[in-house]
Amino acid sequence: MAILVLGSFSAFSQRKMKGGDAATAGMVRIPAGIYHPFLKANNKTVSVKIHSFYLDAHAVTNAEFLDFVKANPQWTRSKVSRLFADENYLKQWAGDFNIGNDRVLNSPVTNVSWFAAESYAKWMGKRLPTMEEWEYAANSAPVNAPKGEKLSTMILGWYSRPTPAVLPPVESTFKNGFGVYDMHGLIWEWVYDFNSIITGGDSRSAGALDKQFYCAAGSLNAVNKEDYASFMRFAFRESLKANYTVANLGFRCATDVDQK
Amino acid sequence: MKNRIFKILPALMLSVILFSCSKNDLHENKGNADAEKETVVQKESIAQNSLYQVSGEWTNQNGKKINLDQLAGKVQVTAMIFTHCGYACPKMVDNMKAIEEKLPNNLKNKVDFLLISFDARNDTSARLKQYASQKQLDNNWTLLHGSAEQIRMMSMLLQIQYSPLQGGGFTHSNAITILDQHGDISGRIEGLDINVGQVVDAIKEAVAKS
Amino acid sequence: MKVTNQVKALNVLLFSMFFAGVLLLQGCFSTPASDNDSGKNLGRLAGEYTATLTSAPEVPPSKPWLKKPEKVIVNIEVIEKTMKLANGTDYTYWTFNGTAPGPFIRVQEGDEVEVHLSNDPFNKMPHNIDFHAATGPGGGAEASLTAPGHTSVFSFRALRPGLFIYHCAAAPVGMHIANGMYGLILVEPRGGLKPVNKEFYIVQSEFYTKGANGDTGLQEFDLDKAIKEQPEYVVFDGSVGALTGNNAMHARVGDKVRLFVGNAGPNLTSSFHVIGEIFDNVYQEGGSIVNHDVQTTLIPAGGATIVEFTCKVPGTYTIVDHSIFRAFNQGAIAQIVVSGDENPNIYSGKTKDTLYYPDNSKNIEVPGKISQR
Repeated sequence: MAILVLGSFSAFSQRKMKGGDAATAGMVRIPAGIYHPFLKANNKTVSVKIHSFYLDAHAVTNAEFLDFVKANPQWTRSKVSRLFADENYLKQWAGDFNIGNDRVLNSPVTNVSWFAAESYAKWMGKRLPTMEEWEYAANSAPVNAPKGEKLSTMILGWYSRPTPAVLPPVESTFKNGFGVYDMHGLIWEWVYDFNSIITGGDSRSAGALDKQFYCAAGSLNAVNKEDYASFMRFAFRESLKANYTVANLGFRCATDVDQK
Repeated sequence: MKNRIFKILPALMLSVILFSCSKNDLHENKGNADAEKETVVQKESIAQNSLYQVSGEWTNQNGKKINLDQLAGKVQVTAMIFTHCGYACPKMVDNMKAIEEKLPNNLKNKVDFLLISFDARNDTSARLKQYASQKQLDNNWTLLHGSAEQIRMMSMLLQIQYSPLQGGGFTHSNAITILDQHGDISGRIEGLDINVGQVVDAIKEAVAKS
Repeated sequence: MKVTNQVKALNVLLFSMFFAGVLLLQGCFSTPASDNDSGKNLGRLAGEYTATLTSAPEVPPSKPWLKKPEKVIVNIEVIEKTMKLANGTDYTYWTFNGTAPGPFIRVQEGDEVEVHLSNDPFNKMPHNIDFHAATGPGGGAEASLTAPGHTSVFSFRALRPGLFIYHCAAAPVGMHIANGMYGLILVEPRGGLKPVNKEFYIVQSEFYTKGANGDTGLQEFDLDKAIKEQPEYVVFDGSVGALTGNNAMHARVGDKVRLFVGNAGPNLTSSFHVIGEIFDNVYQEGGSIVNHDVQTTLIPAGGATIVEFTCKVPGTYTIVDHSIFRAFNQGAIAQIVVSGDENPNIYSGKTKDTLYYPDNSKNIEVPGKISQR
């Protein structure tokens, strides 16, 4: 029915896979492990078991996203619902099906909403990584990091530099220990459950949430108060709504490892 | 400007939703005059903002499978809760009951109440039924059970923050969303300390849009 | 409780408990704990205007003719940009309206301040704003957390008169302050402060750079130094030399000068001193207690003070943080150049220079007056 065609997330055709291994082409298998979330619950460090999963080696590019928009015109700039993306959606593009600048074909697509990223992932037969998966995969230093340089220090360096006029291409920063590129230093990235950050928007309240507005079982506070890079990612996520689009916010996809 | 257009051209939405696909085809195939294109686009934008365009099957407290678009036709006073919540959710539901009581008679058959559970595992339709009777919720209330994925999508649409806690339960923000009869978000009321009169005014506004 | 329409729903106002920032400065110009505090007796707003905002060291004019509370719209845009920190040294500042400190905001007691905080689309960070002049959770910080490319709107009643800091409080708050996100809001008593001849706007703050003081090029923020409270730069109005030489402030002999001085920190307490002046009046911590005849006054991090003095003798007056190594090694120097006629009754300059023999037997006078200036 028309309702389904308009904007549903399941109605559009899934991109045809070339079969078998092609589904995870361009992806890196992240081994299972333990992740300690940045925020403690009830003053205790939490351990989360992360199952092995596949993660895109680089963020989705403008060219890749254009393929999606061509196949799903309801996600063009002129047709997209304001429910799913704000006015700045893909505003860096020249037109609905025209990126307009060959230099950025291989740069990460930005100005995309969570809904758009989620739809792209579905269309690819993938999904967005959860926040825990993303953080786990991101907590790995560059393979050729200078000796003694802490990852968080390197990330702060990115924040200390102005946004470049033209976003560099993917795989232009560094590859981390898992073999994943650009987890820091190129763009921010959407995660599936970004709206699970609840601190009240004021970093100083240390999670002392007003029960008026939040139903919290216990207070949350940071495992490592010097991990400024994590503070920033968490503050950034908290400032977002799912239909927001931001000039340096893109995404990459994940998939489960099949239990064959 | 666009927002103003939304207000000037209110209703017609369901029909626009239904026809927009074919109209869409029309103007792409024929390349109509610019003016006509404009109106088509505008009408589409209106229809496009409905939550009800998100497909997917939910289960209500009576075990009946429903799609969101079946909620169209009435204003829905909507919140997300979970039935094992000890503090915020009971208060939220009490607030909504107070709103229901304060509704003027001429609105009573135009407004329904919608609770969507955070808890895919425990809040089965049977549990929701039990909760509804425990909280004495009448037939104007719909309680929905969905998959974890549907719930996350709904939280995004309603701009609710939530996070499952280890050992069960959820941390979540509290807000009532008023959906007009076409499923457009007409108002949001945050927090638990609400002014019932003001919410009723917001509901009246949503009904008036219809 | 808040009811928002579809459009306003974007500006989510999430309130939770955090009062420390706002309770810090309880002093005020008038009687404390007036009936106004409940907000009930504030009366209707007489009108609405958009605030005139100025960059340091300029101060917007008072509006003493406004006898009733107004709605004052304050438009602030957050811009992350690289600017000069010292000669040859650049830094990526996070700014309110493109300058560090941000704009000076001037309102009157009882006004409703409606803040429109926009975050430039090309910024990397979410930002917010905490007004120490506001009474409410986070001083507005929670209501104003704003993603790049968005605008948040919130308002507060300026219940208490005084001089107050505002700053960004987004996580991690220290870094947002260390990068330049602060400024002053003056809440005048109704009718305005007593007019003076000159008013200036000064904010002291520290910068923590990877490189040592004097290292050239674009410098990155150094978290370790910030935690250890070991800045490379301590400056007035955002950079070394912002208020010296060609940028010095100017006054004339006979002028009454009023300095609105904030200390953004993020860490250090300032021992604020004007070399060669004695303050006639010091509004301690920007509040209601006025002290007189003061040489040096403390300004806490996250606090402010108003000092007034009268220019009696021409010359260049140097403003320092009298924790004196900060002044001479780290940049905490500003200057006011006072022009006009000499007044030897108050200050003679050097009148004599003699050779000195400790046994006090052979002092020989060197003729001629040597002026210091």
